[in-house]
Amino acid sequence: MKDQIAEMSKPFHTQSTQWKQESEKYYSKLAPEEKLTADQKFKSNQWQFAVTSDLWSTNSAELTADKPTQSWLPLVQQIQKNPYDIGKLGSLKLYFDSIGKTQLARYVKNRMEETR
Amino acid sequence: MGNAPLELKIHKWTASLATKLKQTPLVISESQKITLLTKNPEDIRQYKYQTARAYYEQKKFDLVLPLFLELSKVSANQNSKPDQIAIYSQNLVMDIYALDKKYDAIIAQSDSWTKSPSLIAVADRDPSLKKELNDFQSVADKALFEKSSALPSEESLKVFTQFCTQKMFLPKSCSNAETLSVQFKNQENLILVLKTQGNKNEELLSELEFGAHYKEVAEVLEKRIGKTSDTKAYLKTALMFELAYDLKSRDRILRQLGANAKSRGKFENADEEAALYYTYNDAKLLDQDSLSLPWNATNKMQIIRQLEEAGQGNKYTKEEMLKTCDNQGPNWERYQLEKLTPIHTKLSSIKFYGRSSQKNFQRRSGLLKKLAEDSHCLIQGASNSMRFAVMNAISLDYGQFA
Repeated sequence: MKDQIAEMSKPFHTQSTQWKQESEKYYSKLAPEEKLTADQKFKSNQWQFAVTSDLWSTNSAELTADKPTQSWLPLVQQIQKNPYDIGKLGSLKLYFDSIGKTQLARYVKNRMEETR
Repeated sequence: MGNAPLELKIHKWTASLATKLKQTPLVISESQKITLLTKNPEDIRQYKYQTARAYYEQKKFDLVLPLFLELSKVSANQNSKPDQIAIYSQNLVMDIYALDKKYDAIIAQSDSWTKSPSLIAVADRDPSLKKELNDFQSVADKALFEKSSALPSEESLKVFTQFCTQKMFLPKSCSNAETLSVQFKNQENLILVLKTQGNKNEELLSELEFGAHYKEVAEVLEKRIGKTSDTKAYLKTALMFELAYDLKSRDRILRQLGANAKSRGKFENADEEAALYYTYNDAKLLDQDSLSLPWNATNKMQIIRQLEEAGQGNKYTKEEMLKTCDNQGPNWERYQLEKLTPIHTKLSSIKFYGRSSQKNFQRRSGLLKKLAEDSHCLIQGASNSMRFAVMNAISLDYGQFA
């Protein structure tokens, strides 16, 4: 019976070795600090590992944190009072640049060029 | 002196005949004599006027002006319509000033009647006087217009703007106001003048935009857009609302644009899709609703991924994530793992010793095979550390048999 089981287990042993070898290939591609984390997280815990952000390295979304914004209406009102004052437009553009509103900043830049 | 009435009569007769014969010098001399002889105020007034008229015909304006000014005077407590002599004199004074382009004098002379409270009160009861006053005012307005045309200034800009808004001296008043507004860089005034004209919408829109009146521009643009409008028209409207910090209206316009694409079942072209995606993203409108738009696969998956990463995923986004073997972020790895973990758990619970060992062995080896197959997608897209972890774990599962 034991022999029979041993015989039946052989292909699984082979598979186990192959999977192990493959896994080692990817392990070798890890940076030293990633290896450390991978060792701690996975080697002993088998399927208990969690997906955590510190392991996140490939194709991760480039999330940009929202910058705090406030109403730019006061800056617009200043332009309304002085539409020929490029400085007022410049202030609005700078504000849009600072909060990452590139489309609005581009619009104001064009306006500045038209006003000159 | 005893023959004074007769003498007066003869002078009056001579003056009358001289007038008929157009003997102007004789009219003057006879009229002057009469004014000295008579004590009747009406006669004096009548013949002063005759004298003045005669001087006027001789174009002796220096001599005539004091006479007409005197005859045209109205008292502060005038309670009836001035006589015809006063009215004629008033007209002729203004004529004389007009010949010399004395605009300020014309206006002052007109004001002496049109702004007289007592005359205004009489005119309220007497339509014929009202008409006279209106005529004088018209002459004064014309003088003001001419004066303003002669010397461009901020003051003349005010005058033309006023005439323009009162629909007087059109179209010249408005075009002058426009020109001077630009010359004196008075944007608000220019906008007012363009609005008044009502037929210069494009110019008005352009000036409103230049003057940073973005909300007004947006509202005009919104009225123009419809289902057949191109994307640019919608995006420009949305941009104007955003510049005006009316973010709700901006979102409404952008959602309309999205709804148009949805009803067509496609975007007009790749550029439209790219522009809308960028704008929706910037406006933070890439929510669950936005997934119903006809995005291409890349954009759609990008939205799903963003929603998942923002913790706004749902059953649909999870299902969509599981359909792809491309890495879509931590949640994608999590979902792929969640697919594998139950297989592993089930696998571990099957013991193949004792009774039914062969059957259990086959069940377990079958599950192992499924685990290996189902892991391909995760392994294909995962990070190297995840690949290592999963393959290592599967290796251990296989090792349980060995």
